[in-house]
Amino acid sequence: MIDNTVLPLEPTETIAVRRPQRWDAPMDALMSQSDVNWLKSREPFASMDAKAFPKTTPLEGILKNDCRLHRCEPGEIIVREGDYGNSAYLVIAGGVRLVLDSLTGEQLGRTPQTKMSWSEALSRFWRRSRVNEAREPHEITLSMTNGVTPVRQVDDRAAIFLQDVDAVLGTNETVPLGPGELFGEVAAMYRAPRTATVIAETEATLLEIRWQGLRILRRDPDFCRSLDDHYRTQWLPIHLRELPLMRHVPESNLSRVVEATQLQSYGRMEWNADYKRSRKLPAAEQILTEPMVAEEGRLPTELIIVRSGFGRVSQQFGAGHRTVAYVGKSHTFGLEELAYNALRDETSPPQPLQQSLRAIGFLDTLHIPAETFVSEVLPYIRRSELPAIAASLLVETPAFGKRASDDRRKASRPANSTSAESRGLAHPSGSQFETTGLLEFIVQNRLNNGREAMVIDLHRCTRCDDCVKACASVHDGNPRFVRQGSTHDRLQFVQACMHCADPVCMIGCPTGSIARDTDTGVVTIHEPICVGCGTCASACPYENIRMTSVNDHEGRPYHDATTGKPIIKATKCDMCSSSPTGPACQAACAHDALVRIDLSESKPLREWLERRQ
Amino acid sequence: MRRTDRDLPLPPNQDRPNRAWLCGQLGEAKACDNGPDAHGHCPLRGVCRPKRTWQGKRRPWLVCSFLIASVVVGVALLGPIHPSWIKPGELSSPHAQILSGTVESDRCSTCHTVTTASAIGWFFSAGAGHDGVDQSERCLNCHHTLAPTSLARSAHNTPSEVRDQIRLASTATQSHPRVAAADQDAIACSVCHQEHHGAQADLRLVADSKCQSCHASSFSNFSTDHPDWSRWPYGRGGEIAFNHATHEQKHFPGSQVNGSVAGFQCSQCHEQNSANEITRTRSYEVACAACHDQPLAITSGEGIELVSIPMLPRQLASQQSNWPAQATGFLDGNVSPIAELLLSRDAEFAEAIRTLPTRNFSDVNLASTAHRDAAAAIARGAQSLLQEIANRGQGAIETRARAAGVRSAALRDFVHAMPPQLIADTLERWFNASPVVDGSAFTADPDDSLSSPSDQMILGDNRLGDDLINDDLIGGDLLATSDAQPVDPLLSSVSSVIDASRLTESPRFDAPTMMPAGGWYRDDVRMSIRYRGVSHADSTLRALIEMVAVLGPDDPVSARVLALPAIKSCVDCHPSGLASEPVWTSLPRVGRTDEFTKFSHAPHVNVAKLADCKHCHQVASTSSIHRDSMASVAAVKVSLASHPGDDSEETRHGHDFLPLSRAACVACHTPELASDACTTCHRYHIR
Amino acid sequence: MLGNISFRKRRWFALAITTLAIFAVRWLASRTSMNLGRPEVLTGSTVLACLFLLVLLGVRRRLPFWRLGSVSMWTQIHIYSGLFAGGVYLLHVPAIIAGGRLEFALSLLFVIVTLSGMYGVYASRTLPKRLTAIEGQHRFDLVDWHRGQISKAARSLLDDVKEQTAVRVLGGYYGKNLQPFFASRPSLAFVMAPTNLRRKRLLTGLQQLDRYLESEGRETSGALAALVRRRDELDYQYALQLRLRMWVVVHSVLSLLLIAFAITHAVTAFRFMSS
Repeated sequence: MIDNTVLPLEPTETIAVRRPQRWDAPMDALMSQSDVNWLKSREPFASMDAKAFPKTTPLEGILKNDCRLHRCEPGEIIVREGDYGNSAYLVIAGGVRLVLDSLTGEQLGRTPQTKMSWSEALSRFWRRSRVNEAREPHEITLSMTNGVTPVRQVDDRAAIFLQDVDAVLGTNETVPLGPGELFGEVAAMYRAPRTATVIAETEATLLEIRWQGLRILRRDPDFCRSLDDHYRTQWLPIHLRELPLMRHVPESNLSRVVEATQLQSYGRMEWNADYKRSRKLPAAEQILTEPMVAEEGRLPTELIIVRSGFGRVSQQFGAGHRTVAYVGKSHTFGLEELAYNALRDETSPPQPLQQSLRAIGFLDTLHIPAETFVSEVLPYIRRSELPAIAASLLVETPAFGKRASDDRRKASRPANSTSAESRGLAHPSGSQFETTGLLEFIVQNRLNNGREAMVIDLHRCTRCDDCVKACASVHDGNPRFVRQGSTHDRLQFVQACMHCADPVCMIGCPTGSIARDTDTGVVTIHEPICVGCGTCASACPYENIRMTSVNDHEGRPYHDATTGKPIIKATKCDMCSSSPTGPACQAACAHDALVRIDLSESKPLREWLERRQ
Repeated sequence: MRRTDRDLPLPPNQDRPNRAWLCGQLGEAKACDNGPDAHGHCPLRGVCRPKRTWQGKRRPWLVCSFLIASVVVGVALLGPIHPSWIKPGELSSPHAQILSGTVESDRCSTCHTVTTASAIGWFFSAGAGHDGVDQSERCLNCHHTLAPTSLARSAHNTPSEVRDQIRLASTATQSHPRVAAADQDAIACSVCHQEHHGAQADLRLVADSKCQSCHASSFSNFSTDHPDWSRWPYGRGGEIAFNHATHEQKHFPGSQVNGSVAGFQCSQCHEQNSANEITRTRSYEVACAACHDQPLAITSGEGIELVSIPMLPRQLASQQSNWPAQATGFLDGNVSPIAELLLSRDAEFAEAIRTLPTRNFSDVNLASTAHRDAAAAIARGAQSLLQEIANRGQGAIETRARAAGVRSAALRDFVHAMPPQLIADTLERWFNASPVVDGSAFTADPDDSLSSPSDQMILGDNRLGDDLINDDLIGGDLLATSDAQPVDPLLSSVSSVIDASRLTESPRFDAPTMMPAGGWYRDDVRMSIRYRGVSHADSTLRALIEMVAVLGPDDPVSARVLALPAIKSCVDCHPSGLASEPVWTSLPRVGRTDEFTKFSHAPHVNVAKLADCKHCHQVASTSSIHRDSMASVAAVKVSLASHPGDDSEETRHGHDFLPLSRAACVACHTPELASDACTTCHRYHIR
Repeated sequence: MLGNISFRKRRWFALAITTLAIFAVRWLASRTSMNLGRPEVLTGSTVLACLFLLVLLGVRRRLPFWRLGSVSMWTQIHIYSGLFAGGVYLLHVPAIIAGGRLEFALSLLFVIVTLSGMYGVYASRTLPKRLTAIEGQHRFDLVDWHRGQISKAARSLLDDVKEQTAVRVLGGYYGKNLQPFFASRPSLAFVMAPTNLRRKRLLTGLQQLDRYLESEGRETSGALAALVRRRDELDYQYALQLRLRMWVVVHSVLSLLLIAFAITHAVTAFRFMSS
C-alpha cells in the first residue's frame, strides 16, 4: 500500500541516511588501471595537466569511474537523433560518421506510428486475443533481412545495426569523426535530445564519458574552452531566444548577454536513482537535502533561468521552509526583485530575494548578471510581462503611488502574477498552487515531471474500472496502466506513464526502442527492437513501465532461440497514439473523474480542479 | 500512517478487470504473470484455483437477461400471445358482462379490427375480412339506437349544415366558433369513450377539454366565465301555450271557481311524481276545464263549414239547372275554406276564385260578365262537389284533398265522421235531384223560359244525359228505380214545391240543442253543410288542423282555416298542433335527447330552499314583459325541431318569467359541490 | 459540448433544458388531444425513443476503441434524457402502475429502472467521497487478496511474539475472535449496511487484554488492533464498492427487459389501435 500523506512541517526526529558519495558506483567496473594508463597516453588526456584537478577528483579517478571503453562494429548505431543520453563519446580509434540528415524510423529499427482506421480498430477489437500479452512473431523481433537482425550482441551488450550502411552514408550528408574527437557532449551535459545520429563506419573504439566526468574534465582550460565555445556558439543563443522574456531583445544585446551568461548545474543528474529513497523523507528534511541555488533574503545579483531539471521555490515559514512554487524548463527566478531594484527610486531600499531556489534532484541553470540584465534585457521587456510591482514602478505619476503600494502589498504575497498566467505564459517565477499541500506533494513525488499525468478525482471516481477496461480493449486486452498510485486528498496520481518532461526512462536504452515522438512528445516503446533489458523500467522513478513475458495467441510463451530465456518486453501507456481515439481511459470515464493532464504547469490542474466545485 | 501500522506488501501490479478470471496466487512468487485463460484454467496445469473477477461474476447475469429480453421480443413479434396477457386493463363492467359469454380468444375482435392477438399480422394488413371496418362501426353494432349510422361520427350526431346554422346563431352570442380542429364528421367513439380503464370506470365521463377542442370560448370553470344564456329554460316553445303572468295576475284573481277565488299555486299544475320529477302539466279537465270549458264550448260549437250554396240572382240562378228557390235572391254567401281546398284542383273553379279574391258573393259585380261567370262557376262547383260526395262518399273528399296537396294521416280522421247520405239527402232536398241520375234535368221543364243558353245547357245536359242514358241501357235496375218513382213531371215539380214549402215551414234545425256531442249536419238556412265540434279535444277539428298544417302557414286556405274561431281556439293553446308531427299533449322534457341542455328537477328539489319553485322561476309582472330577440342555441334547435313559424308563438311564450340567470346555478355548480363539468348540463349526442 | 463550464453550471443548464423539454411535450400532447388526436401515441413514442437513446450509453461503453464522444458526455445525456423519459412517462400513463398483465410488468420495470437510475446518480455522487475518506484505495478484484495479506500479517505478528504471557493471552483471543474475523468474509448484513460494531467489539476486547500484557505484548496487540482497523476499513470499502457495482448490474439487466417489454407494448398498441 502506497502512503504519501504529507506530514505537517513541525520538525520530527531525523533519520540518519548516508549522503551519497561520488564514485560510489563506477560506470564500468571492468575499467582496469591498465586501461586508464593507456588512455592517459592518448589525446586529449595526454595533454591535460593532472595538477589542474582537485585532490578529491583526480584525472585517473575520472577515467576509471566515469568512463567506459566501447568496441563498435561497422554499421552499429552509436547514438540516435532524438535519443536522450547522459554520456559523451570520445573516438579513440577507428572512424565514425555523424549523419546530419535525420534518418527514418525504419532505418533506426523503429516501426513507424500510424493511426489505424476505424474499421481496423473495430477488427482489432473483435480479434483481440483471449490470452494476455499475446504477440505475433513479427511484433517481438525485427524480421531477418538478409539473414541478420538489426539487433545484435556486441561483447556484453545489445546493439542495433544499420541495414546497408553504404547506401545510407552514400545518400545522406555525413561528417566523418576521427580519433580524439568528441561527440554527444551537449546532450549529455544539458539533458537534451541527441541532435544527430552517429554510426560506426569501421570497427571503432570509443570512450564513453558520463556527464559528471565531463564536468570535471572541463577544469582543463583547453578542454573547457573547446566545450564552452562550442556550446555558447551553437546552443546558448537558441536557448535564450526560447525564453518569453527575450523575445524582443535585439541580436546585438543578445550576443552581449550570451557573453556574460554563466552556466551552472546543481544536484545529480540521475535524480531518479535516489528519488525512491528521498521521497520517503519528510518534506522538511527533503528540502534541506536539496542543493541551494539562490537563498532568500540575499540581494539578487543575477537572473536565474532554468534550462533543464526542476527547482523548488520555497519561503521561510516558521521554523521550516514552505514550498510556494516549482520551476521547470525556461522558468526564471529573481526577475521581480531585479526589476524592482532597477526601477526603484534611490531613496527606497533595494528588495532582497523573496524566496529561495533549490534544485530538486537535478537543476541546470543560466545566470545572467544583474547589470547585464538591466542594461541589455530589461528595456525590451513588455511592461505587461513584468511582475506587477515592477510594472507599477515604470509609471512615475503620483496618481499611481497608491496603486503601486497596493501592488507592493499584492507582491508581498508569494509570487502571484495573474497577468502573466492569464496570457498563458509560463509564470516567471514558476508554477504555484493555492494549496501548498498539493504543491509540496507534487514536488515531493516529482509529479511536476509529468506532461500527460493520469489524475483521478476520487470524489467522483466510482471505482468502476471502466478506464482500465477501455485501455485493455484498445491494447489487445492488456491494460497499460494500473489503477493505483499515490493519493493526495481527493486526487489520485495513477501509475500510468506521464510522458515526462525529463524522460529518464529513455536514458540508456541500448537499442533506442523507447523513443519520444518529436511533435506529440509521447514516449513509446518499439517492441520489435526492445531487448527486454529493463533499463527503462528500473529507471522510471514512478514504476510506470512493466516488464512482461510475451506469448503467442495460444498462450505459449516465446523464448530466445539461443539462450532459451523467455522473451521479455517493456510495456507502458502509449496514449493510444495508434488508435483513432484519444487516450481511451479519459474518454471511457463516465463521471469526468479521470484526466490526462500536464503537471509541469499548474494552470491546467488548477482549472480542472475549479471546474468540479 | 499510524505508528502501530505495519507495512503490508504492495498489491501486485497486475490489473486485469477486463478478464473474467484472476490468478489465484496473485502477488505470490508462484503466480504466473499472465494469469489464467478465458475459461479460468490455470496455464500451469491447475497449480492454483483462479478466482472470478467482477467482470466474470456479472457476465452471466447480463447474458441471461439479454436472452430473456430477446425471447420476449420474439414472442411479441411472432408468437400468438394469449389476449389476457396483452389486455391493457379490465373492461368496464357492462361491456365485460356482454363479452363474458364469448370465448376469450374472440373477445378482442368484438371491438378491435384484429382477428388474432399476434402482432406479426400488424406488419401486414389488419385482420383479414375486417378491412375498412373500423372500431366505431363496431360500437354502433350494439349502440345503433344512439344515432343513425350516417351521423354517428359527425359532431353531435347532427349534419354539418345544421351545425353551421348553430354556429352562425352562436356568433351572435359571445361564444366564438372555433376553426374546426379535427374533422368534425369523422369523430371516433374512442375519442371520448376509452375502454380498458377498469371495471368501475365510467365510459360516459368526458373531460371538458374534449368539448373545448371545438368550442373555442374555452373557460376554466362554470361559475366565472361560462357564457351567459339569455332566457333558458324559457322560450323554448311548449306544446301548451300557457302564460303564467296573465294567469297569475289577471285571470286567477278575476275568476271564481265554485265560489272562491283560486290561488295561483305552482303545484296545482306541476305536481311531483314518484320519481321526484316535476310534471309539466295536468290534464285539461283538472287544470283548465273549470274556466276554459264554457268559452271553448261556444267557439268550437260554432263549428266549421264544409260547403255552402251561395244566393244567386234570378238570371244567374235560371242558368243553373233547377237552382233551389231559397238560394235565389240577392248575391250572398262566401266560399268555405274547406270547399276551396277540395275544389282547388278543378280549373274553372280556380279561375273563378282568382276573379273573386274576396271569395265573397256580395262583391260580385253583375255588370261584368266575368264576375257573373265566376259566380256561376263557384255555384256550380259547390253543387258539383256535393254531387260528387253524394255519389262517391268520403272517398271523394279524400281524393280531392290529396289532389290539393294534403298528405296527412289526419285526412282519415277528418272524413271519418262525414255521412255521404246526409249529402245525398241535401242534394235531393235542395236541388230535388236524386244522387243517382238527374235525368229529370232534361225532361221537359214546365218552365217556359227556355232560351238559347238554356238550350246550350240542355245540349250540355243532353251530352251528359246521353251517357247517363247509356248508363240506363246498361243498368236496368236504374229504370226499375225510375219506374218506382212517379215520373209525372208536374207531380214531381209540385211535390218539390210542396217539400220546399214544407221545409221552410218546418221549425229550424237547432244544432246546439239537437247535437250536443257534435257532428256533421245540414243548415237549411245558411244552405251549408257544417260540422259542430265538442268543447275540447274534438277529433275532427284536430284532424282539420293537422291537415292544413301540412299546407304550411302561407297557404291561403290554411290561413283561412286557422282564422276560423273554432280552429283558432284550439291553436291558441295548442300551438304545437301545427308542428310537422303534431303534439297535442305536453311531453315531459326529462329524457329528451333533442336538446344540447338537459335538466332534471329531481336532484334539485331535494335541496331545501329549491323546494319552492319561485326560488328559481319568478313570474314576471304582465306590465314589464321581458323581451329579447336573441336566439339562444337551444331556441334555434327548437325552431328546427318544431313548426318554423314559432316566432309568433315565442312572443306569446317565454317572457312570462323573469330570466333565470347563471347566478342561480353557480351557487351549487362548482367543481367541489355539484360538478361543473360540461356534461353535467349539456348533452353531446343529439337526436 | 459544455467543454469547460463548471459542473454546477452544467447541472443547472441541463435541468433547465430537461424541464423545458418536458413542458414542450406536455403542450404538444394537450394540443393533440385538443385536436381530438391521440396524445398517448405522441408521448408513448417519445418514451420509446428515449429508451433507445438511453441504451446507447451501454453501447458506447462497449465501443471504447472509437471516437464517439466521451462516455461522461454520454452519461450526462443519459441522466437527463432519463429524467425526461420519466416525465413523459407520467404524461403517458393513466396510472403509474398499469392494470393489464403486460402493462403491469412494463410499468413496474420502468419504475424500478428509473428509481435504480436515480439511486445510481445519488450513489455515484456520494459514495466515492466516503470511499476517499478512508485510508487506502483498494481495487475491487484485489479485496480478497488484501484480506489474505492482513490475516497473514496477523498470523505472523502472533508468531513473532516471544513473551509466554503474551502468547497465551493474545493467542487465546486470536483463536477465539480475531482469527475467524480475519479469515472470513464480511457478513451479508455488514455488506448491506456497514456498521463499526464488529470493529468496536474486537478493539475493546484487545484493549481489555492490555492489563494482562507486558510491553512487547502491548506492542503486538496494538499492531493487531491496527490490522483490525485496516480489515474493517477494507470491508467497508468492499461494501461500498459492491454497492456501486451492484446497482449498475441491476439497472442494466432490468433495462434490457424493459426495452423488450416496451417494444412488445408498442407493437400491440399499434396493432390494436384503430379509430
